[in-house]
Amino acid sequence: MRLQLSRGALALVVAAASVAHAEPPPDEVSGTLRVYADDDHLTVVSPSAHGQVAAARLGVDVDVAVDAVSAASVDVMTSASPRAVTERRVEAGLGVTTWPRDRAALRLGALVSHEHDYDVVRGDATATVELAQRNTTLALRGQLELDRATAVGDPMFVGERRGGGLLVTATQLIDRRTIADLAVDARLADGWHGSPYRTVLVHALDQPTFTRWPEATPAVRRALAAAVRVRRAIGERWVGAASARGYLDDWDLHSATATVEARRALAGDARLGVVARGYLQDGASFWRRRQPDGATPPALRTADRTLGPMASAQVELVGERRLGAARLVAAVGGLGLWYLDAAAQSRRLAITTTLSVTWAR
Amino acid sequence: MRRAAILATALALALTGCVRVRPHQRQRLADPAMAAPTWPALERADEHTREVSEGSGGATGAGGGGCGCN
Repeated sequence: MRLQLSRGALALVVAAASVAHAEPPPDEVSGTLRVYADDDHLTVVSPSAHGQVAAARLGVDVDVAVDAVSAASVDVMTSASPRAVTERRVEAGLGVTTWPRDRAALRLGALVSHEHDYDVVRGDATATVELAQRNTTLALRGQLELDRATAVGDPMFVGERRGGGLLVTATQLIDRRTIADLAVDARLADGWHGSPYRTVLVHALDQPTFTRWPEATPAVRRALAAAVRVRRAIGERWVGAASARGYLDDWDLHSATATVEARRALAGDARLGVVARGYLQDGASFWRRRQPDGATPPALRTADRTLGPMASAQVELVGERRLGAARLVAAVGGLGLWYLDAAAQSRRLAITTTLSVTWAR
Repeated sequence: MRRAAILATALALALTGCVRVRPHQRQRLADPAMAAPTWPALERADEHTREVSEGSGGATGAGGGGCGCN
């Protein structure tokens, strides 16, 4: 069974370790537990760990993560029976950072992800430099990725995809209380994008029956995303942030995202925060709610609801407490997903809980 | 797509013309709540959920520049 957890034509699993700090960060180790549960009978328990050490001008960071899935959901693609199934994905990442001179860093990273029918190998390089008395930070990351999918019950099936991306970020101090960020992300993926377990139903002409056809998407997908964020200290205890992101690709899918955050310092070295996010997208040009009747389907066809028009909304409450060298973070959130043109199961509601502990030296 | 890239580049260049904040003026900028991301593990987990639930992604992570505080 292939999980959609490592899906995506251009999925990018962001790891904090992929940030190349312009100066050596403190040594730290952290552990996180994330639980996701939705009303589509999907539960994902995700423990993860992160560690980083730096000495002189060399640093190493390591990440490991597991997704343990229990589901009876249409979004968990399976060739087995529609009864509840369990599956596990394991991911490991390694990064090496060097600081060739003050206020500049170079990081090389590698990541592997494995499920029994889907593997990902990725490498990336990030360069960071601070300029203008550290008022400006520029970062450039290049990434290459190889995805390989197989199918349970079909030993002859192999779907491969190669991809690459370039991410440019700029951070600028605006005044004594305000920081602005700009990120531009360009990606290209070439190969197989679908799922061997997902089929498109086509109603045969003059027949009461349906036939199942495999998905067929364009081999190449080019995408561009840009985001702007502003963070501002308000008064002595509040911090506010707002961001907006736009996305477009050559599958004619467009999306817009807006996020607002507020954080307040409390007594006893604690902090409380709230994050609210809204997302809206139109559908890919070849998305159809229902395939046209006929003996054969359109050349491009998909049953992936995430490629159709959709909207999502998320609210998350976060609490943080520092105890000496330890930092405890707890968050609980609600997520709503609305697939606006889906023929069935057009809404999904989820609850997420996250616990994280970090020790820094 | 080309127009969006040109606009983003122009905006990045415009940011470099902002007021220069001196090191002794960065007290509030040094607040941990001003870091991006403030809670890295949480943002990783949230972004992972979104990437598999939505049809688009990107423009996150990487730089995450801080306050340049000494």
